Amino acid sequence: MFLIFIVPTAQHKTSAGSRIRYDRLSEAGEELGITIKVQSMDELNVSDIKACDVCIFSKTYSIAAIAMARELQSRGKTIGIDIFDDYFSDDNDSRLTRFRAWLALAADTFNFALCSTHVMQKLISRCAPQLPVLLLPDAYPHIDPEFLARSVAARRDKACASGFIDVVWFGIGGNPFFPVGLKDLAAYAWSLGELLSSSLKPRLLILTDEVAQSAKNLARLRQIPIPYRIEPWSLEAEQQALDTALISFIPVNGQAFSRGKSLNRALTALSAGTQIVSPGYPLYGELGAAIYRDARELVDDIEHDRLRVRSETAKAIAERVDALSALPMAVADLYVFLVKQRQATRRRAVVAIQADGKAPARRRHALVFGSEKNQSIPTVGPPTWVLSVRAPFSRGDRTFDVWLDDQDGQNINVWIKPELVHLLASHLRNTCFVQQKIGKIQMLRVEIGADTHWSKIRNFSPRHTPQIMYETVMYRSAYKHIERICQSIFPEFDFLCTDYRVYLDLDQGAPPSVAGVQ
Amino acid sequence: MKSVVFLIDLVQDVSACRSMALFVKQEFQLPIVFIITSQFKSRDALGIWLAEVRDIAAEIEAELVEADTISAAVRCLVGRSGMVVALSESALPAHAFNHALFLAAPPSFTRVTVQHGLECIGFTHNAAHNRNWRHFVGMNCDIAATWFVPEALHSVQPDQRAKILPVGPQIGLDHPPVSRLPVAAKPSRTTMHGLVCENLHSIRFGPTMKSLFADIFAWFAEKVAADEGSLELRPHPGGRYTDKNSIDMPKNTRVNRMPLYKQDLKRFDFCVSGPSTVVLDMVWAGVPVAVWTNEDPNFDVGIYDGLHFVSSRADWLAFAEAAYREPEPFLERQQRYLSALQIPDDIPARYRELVTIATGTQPVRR
Repeated sequence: MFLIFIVPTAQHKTSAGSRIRYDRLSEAGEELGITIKVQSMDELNVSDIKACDVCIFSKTYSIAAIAMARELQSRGKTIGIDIFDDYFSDDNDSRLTRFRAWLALAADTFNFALCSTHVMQKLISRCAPQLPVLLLPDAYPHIDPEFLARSVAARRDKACASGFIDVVWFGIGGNPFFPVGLKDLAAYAWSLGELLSSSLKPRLLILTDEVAQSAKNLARLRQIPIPYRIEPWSLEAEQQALDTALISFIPVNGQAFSRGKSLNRALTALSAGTQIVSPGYPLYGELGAAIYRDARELVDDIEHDRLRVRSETAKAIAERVDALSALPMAVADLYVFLVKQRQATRRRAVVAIQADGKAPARRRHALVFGSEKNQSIPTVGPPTWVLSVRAPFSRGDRTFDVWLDDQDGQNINVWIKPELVHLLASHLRNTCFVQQKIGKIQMLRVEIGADTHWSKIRNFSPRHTPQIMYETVMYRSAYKHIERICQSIFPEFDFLCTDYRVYLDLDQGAPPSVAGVQ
Repeated sequence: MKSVVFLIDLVQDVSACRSMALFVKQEFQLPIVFIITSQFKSRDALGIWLAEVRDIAAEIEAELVEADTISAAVRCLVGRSGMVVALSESALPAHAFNHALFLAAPPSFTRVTVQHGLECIGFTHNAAHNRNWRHFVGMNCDIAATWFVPEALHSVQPDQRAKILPVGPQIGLDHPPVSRLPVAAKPSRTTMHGLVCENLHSIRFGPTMKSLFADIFAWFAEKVAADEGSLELRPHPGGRYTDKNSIDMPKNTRVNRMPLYKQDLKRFDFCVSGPSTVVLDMVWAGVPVAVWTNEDPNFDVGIYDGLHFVSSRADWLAFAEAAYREPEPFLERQQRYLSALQIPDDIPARYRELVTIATGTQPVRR
């Protein structure tokens, strides 16, 4: 079985989440004949897609990704999502509306979901009940008890000899929505202060990304009560730090986003041979006594040479981690689950055939660019797999397959790339004579007749500035109009708008009065 | 060992921190670090001031660190302790780097903002500052080292008052004020030689004043030349308005871009300047100086009250000739002005106290 995990950008391929989850899964999958590839949305190529059976979207919270998924589905692929961050559960957080709107669309699109923790499994069952979910725990590293015992003893001896307790905090320093990273570090800095009761001197190394090192975040770090250094994070720097530090400091706060995290970070630190101090939410409870919740106990244990991770406990810890990870079991579960999903996909195809005696024509998919700046919208898949359509109110200077613009405040002009003529409705194929440079490329004008008149949408003009009223009330009817026009031009296509606001459920409360808006 | 770190972000910061850096090195023998920002390098288009920093650093064996970002500057501070000094630090956009760095600086450093001018944001605003930036502008420092006693600082926010430590202007570390020109200087010249200082970039000047300056200056230079006199025009090192707007230089005039501390100011018979701190440098050096202003009551020159003011071109010429013939009345007036500013006594002792408080280090005994 050939799986492709699709991530938003090439950069995501090397992120901690992708590295730990997919790379380790990939190694373990080989025995069962599961081939795994991680590919970014813009790099998806035809041969990969043709060869694969299942496509799983990861961290792709864009409607462009949904259009791509639907296109893949119509080409017979089984499609799923892998969700490991909770951007969905807090209905009261208006900053996350776009994530909730995305999940609602995704739930109606994808065939299944994967997640890595029980918390996330519950969340998906609540927010997207129609999706079958498989809990696929992160593939944790195998811990070698002998290495662990040796490494820990060496570090304790070094600390006693040098007089310093080396502590490391590592990871991405911030999140656009939630107070995590360096904010957690600063909030739980008091716990580091407890190390000061030791006769050895604690000192902290902070490894984090440049973006998180804003003046505000750095000012937060001023309250850390022990000496600290800040170095840029890199995989090598992290490994080097974990190879030498006595302690990894991993505070966890109690918000939903943090509670949904996997054991990844703690296990990365543990397998490298550091002790773990984790104040705050007991996220790592499953690791039991291997984790220090109270730094003062660790100070005691250094002095009495009975650190929680040491030669006597190494074997038990390794077994516990193996049991939690259960990698072979997890991969087998995944295999069975995916086989079921493949069968369901085939069954749906068969049902579709039986309904009207022949296989239905394959629907294709297009993406209409909304009023947000279009540079921010990702490119998806091979060229013209998902057609890109510029709406008259789209902003930015991208190149599109189909270009709609406002002629005179009344009518719409339609331009297409010359190679798309064969996709037009049959009565339009002989109407394209005018060729002109539109934006950066040569395009053909399609003569679609008079039924594009804007007056069908009262009080709307694409020349309006995109103010909030028109975006909420008029925007959706304007989009529907555009979609109708597009459908009359390209009858084989289904259209999705890149702007989630088109899909918001505005029906709660009284419906907006269209006539009242001037 | 404690370090003393100077932030150099504006080009003016170089001359403002020079005396202090030399003083700290001489009196305390503490290691000194200059953090140079990338904005400084782009502002210093001619490279004059970077070269100056290098010279100063070489002289006192200071470390030069270039920092493009706040985090890079913080990385330079982490692991050290002592005092970090900014000569321009406030909530204003132009001071953003130093302001943010003070917020983020590790707690092992005492953060010291030193007043850098007569009309200085956060300390002594003029009316144009208040119109543009409001009355209250805060700072992120622990100690605000000021030129004047607290009663004379009319723009310090109530919540910043406790930070004040009066130390006096940095020029007081070089030498005490010169009350009169040495007698010998005068007879050696038979023609007048003057300095005109321009700071037209200042928010105080509108377009009318800017074009007026060009007119007056051209006429004035011609008149001075008619008597075989000569002039030097000094653009403000940060603003460089006449540099950037390529104002024509009359024949007997040359541009003066050298740091003031590298010049013998005694060679000037007089100086005409817009309202700017260079006026205090002239007063300090014992050069007769006139402040160029206009009749507009909104044009606030309150802090220069007591000095000689000129507005029309006739005023300029009358002042120049009077100062050349008979500097004494001007210099006496300037002495009175200086004592009215309420600058604390014994400036070196004040700076010694500042460094001791901020670093916990005593001066080296000799």
